[in-house]
Amino acid sequence: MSSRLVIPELTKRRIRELASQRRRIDKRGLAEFRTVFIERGIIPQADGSALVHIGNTKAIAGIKIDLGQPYPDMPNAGVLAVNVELMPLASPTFEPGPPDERAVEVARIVDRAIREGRMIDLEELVITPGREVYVIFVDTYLVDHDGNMIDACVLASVAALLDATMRKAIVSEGRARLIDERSPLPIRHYPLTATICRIGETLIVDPILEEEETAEARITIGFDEEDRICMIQHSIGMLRYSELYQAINISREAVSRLRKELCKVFPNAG
Amino acid sequence: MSEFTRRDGRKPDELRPIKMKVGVLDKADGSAYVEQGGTKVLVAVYGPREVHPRHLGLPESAIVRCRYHMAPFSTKERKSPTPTRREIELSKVIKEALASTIMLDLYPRTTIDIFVEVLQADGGTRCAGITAASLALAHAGIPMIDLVSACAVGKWNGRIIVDLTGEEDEECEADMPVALMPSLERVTLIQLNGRLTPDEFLEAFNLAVKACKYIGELQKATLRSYYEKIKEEVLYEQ
Repeated sequence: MSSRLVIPELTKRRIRELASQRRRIDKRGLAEFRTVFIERGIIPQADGSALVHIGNTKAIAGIKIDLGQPYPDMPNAGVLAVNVELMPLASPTFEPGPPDERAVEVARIVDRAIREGRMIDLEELVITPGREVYVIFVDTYLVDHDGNMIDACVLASVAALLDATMRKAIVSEGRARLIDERSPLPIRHYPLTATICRIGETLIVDPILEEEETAEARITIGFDEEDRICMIQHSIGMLRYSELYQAINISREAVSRLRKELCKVFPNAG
Repeated sequence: MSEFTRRDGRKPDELRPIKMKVGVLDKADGSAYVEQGGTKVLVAVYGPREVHPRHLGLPESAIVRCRYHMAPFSTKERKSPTPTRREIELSKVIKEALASTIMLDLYPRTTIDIFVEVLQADGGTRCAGITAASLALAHAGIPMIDLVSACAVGKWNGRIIVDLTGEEDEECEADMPVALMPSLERVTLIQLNGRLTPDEFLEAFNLAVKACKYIGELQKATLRSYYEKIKEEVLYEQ
């Protein structure tokens, strides 16, 4: 990830100027997401999958569900493993190789939104307590990066989990095996996130790449369908206390609009 | 209200005893040690110094690099010394929490390296790490616009509490580390693990602000007494 993205100073200056007049370079409202597109089940090989566009940013998430051992300290819970890859296809600044700190951060944000938002009832995924449980692998690929990779990766991961089905486990002679009878995952909540950038004194939702590079601060806030905050990650820069409160309110509204898009594909999602 | 007690008998808004020291390492440009209850953290700062590999340097400002690391003996069960994903993420957020206070444009083409070593983990290690790192940066004489003070808040047994122990952290419904500039009143880090309603969030955040202000006063007192001691030594020699 050595090569650095260069955004012309002229563009940055224009973005700052517009922000001070509470306007944006792509003419969007300050709290408005770009056009959101969600398609489910695009990878039939996977147990669940989704392709998500937020404007030109694209992410694909695939779910694979296997049998495995629970964590020793959580014998009565299934295992959730989230991985995010920033594909070299997606940006000139991404390079092949093990995930760097940006990818690790995004993966952990997605993981926290799903886990702490209690999206899946992991206790329902136990086959033999302490011995055998379902392991849910969420692998999310950012394939085109035009800003706001966090919300795109969360949305793709959540959509893929909602699309996913798991095979029934039959236990015989103390060992489980999966048969071809499928049921949906035990979904309990529907977490989603909205990322906010501060440019000057203006807060904007869903930054495009140029805005992200111009921004002085960034914060991502997740909500479940009951408007509880289930994830916060303040990843860059500094915020006034009042800006933090404002960011919470703005992101809550933005998430509820994003949720409407998710509901078009998954009518139960809140 | 009065019957609410935490595992260690503290009140909801009571911090654990805090110890701070600067100048604890001989070779580092700046160093600090912070103890907050059972959490013990040692921080060294090197720099501003030349960047290697050189292409990482920036023509217009210094860069900040940070490694947050937990010693294998810092936890109940031995932790493998290879960095986990958690440590990689925390290294990044600690770096960001401190970088916005440092006047980076004074030192183009250099790096400021921060090493946060957790010697014993008992909750709030990233916060103690940030508090200590800010002290170490000040001790290294690096110009900053403010100190950074950090403390975790959370929700445990339905109540908002401050400065969670490792045990409370495992049992809690929500855990929210906060770092801020106590004089300029700016947030430089906030993370939330768990669920809070917007009202609970406000209560927790206000508690964190109060705790961080107190920690900020301790940081200033620690730096002041360190330099006063040096002053005395110099005067004595003269």
